[in-house]
Amino acid sequence: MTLNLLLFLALAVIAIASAAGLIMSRNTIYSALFLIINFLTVAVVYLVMGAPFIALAQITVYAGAIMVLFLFVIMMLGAEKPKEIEQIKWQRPLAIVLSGAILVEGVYALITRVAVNVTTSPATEVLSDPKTLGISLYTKYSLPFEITSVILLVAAIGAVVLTNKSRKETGK
Amino acid sequence: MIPIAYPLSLAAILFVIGIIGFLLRKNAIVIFMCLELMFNAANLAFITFS
Repeated sequence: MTLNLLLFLALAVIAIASAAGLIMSRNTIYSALFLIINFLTVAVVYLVMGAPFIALAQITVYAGAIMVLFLFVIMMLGAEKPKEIEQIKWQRPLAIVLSGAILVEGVYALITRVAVNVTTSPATEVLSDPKTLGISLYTKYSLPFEITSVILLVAAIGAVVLTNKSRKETGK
Repeated sequence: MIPIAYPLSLAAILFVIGIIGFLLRKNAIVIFMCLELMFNAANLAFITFS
C-alpha cells in the first residue's frame, strides 16, 4: 500500500461521505456546504493523480464561483424552506425503485470489473500544460470554442426571456 | 501510481449517489446540486483516463 494509494482512499471516503450527506441533509445550505467539501476533496484527488492545473481550476471555478453562486441563490430566494409543488402520486415509489436499480447495477459493475486492466489509448495531443492548451484552444479548436460561446449566450438569453415572461404574468 | 480502477470506481460511486439524490429530492436547488455532482464525477473519469 503506497502512500499515494492510502491518501487516495482517505480522500475517496471523504468524497463519498460528503456526497451522501448532500443527498440526505434536510437543510439546503448544509447540502451546498457538503458539495463544496466534495469539490475540494476531488480537487485534491486531481492533485494526487498528477494534474495540478485541473485541481486549481476545479477549486477556482467549481468550488469558488459556482458554489458561491448557488449559496447566493439559496440565501436570496429563501429556498431552504421547500416549496409546495404538486406531486405525481407514483413519483416517489418509482424514484425509489429506479435508484435502487441503478445502485444494484453500479455495485455489480464495480465488483465484477474492478480487477480488469483498463488499457488507455495514447492521447492524440499533449494538452496538459495551460500554455499548450490555450494555444491549441485558440488556433486548432477555435471553431468549437466559438460555437460553445454561442450556446452559452443562447442559454443566457433563454433564461432572461423565461424570467421576463413570468414577471409579466405576475403583473410587475 | 494508483491503479486506474480506483478513481474510476470513485467516479462511478459519486455518479450513482448523484442520480439517487436527483431522483429522490423535492427541492429544486438540491436537484441542481446533484446534477453538479454528476458532472464532477464524469470529469473525474475523464481526468483519470488522461
